[in-house]
Amino acid sequence: MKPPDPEFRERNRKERLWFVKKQAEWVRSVPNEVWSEQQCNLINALYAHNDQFPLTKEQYLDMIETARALSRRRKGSPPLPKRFRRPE
Amino acid sequence: MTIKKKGETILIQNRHLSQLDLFVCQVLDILTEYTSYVIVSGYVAILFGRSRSTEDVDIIIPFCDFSTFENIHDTLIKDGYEFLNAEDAYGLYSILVSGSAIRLCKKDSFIPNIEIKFIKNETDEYSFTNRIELVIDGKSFWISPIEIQIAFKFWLGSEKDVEDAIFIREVCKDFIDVDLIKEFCLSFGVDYETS
Repeated sequence: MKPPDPEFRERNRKERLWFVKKQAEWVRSVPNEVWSEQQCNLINALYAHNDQFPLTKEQYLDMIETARALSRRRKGSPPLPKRFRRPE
Repeated sequence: MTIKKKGETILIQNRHLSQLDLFVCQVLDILTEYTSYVIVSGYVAILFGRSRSTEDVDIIIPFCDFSTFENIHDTLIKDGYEFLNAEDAYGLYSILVSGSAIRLCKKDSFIPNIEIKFIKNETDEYSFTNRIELVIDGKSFWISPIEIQIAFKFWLGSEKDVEDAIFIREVCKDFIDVDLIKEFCLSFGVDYETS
């Protein structure tokens, strides 16, 4: 399978960030009842069948470990600004 | 969104609670009988309205002795929870002491789960020591300070993390300290301006 070209990926990334900002703007603009009801519906729908998860505990933990190892996400802890560090 | 700030406490009222929120509340009710905690990472963005779900909620607790952990463990098991790591209380405690995390869920339901770990570095310690209380319709959630949360998410760097950081920054822009976020970003080696 041919992976998407870098230009497409960058366009997609920018579009997602634009959407996140639009969504934040919308959340700020409506009462708490409104945004939270929609969020609630989304999350509850995603959990509707969570009792039918097809993996065993061991398989699930293995999957997470593998995904973490392959992820480009940074690991560890970045250095705090000096004024917040523990005295040596 | 209406967010009120009363001193250091953030108040959100009339917010619907999802199954995820209720699960977290139930676990926190038990946990707080024995220890304090701080919620970090993706669930903080969800508490502020990000339209996504998560499989796991990250919680950091201070180091405790085995007997305290055993009490937490036994209460959770008695109340219908289980740990995904195939260990008894002592084995789970050993995982925590080694710096790794353990996962807790409702019995026979892996998702959502809560990933618990002991404070293990200065970033965790800062988040815990300076944690802030978010009160949603009377329920308390102790969360990491928003400024370090945003900078840390930028540092982690995955698309989802950067999106969470931008979302929190935009939603909380009326009361966050932008200079402090920039200070964290500078120290973490991430560029705030282009993030």
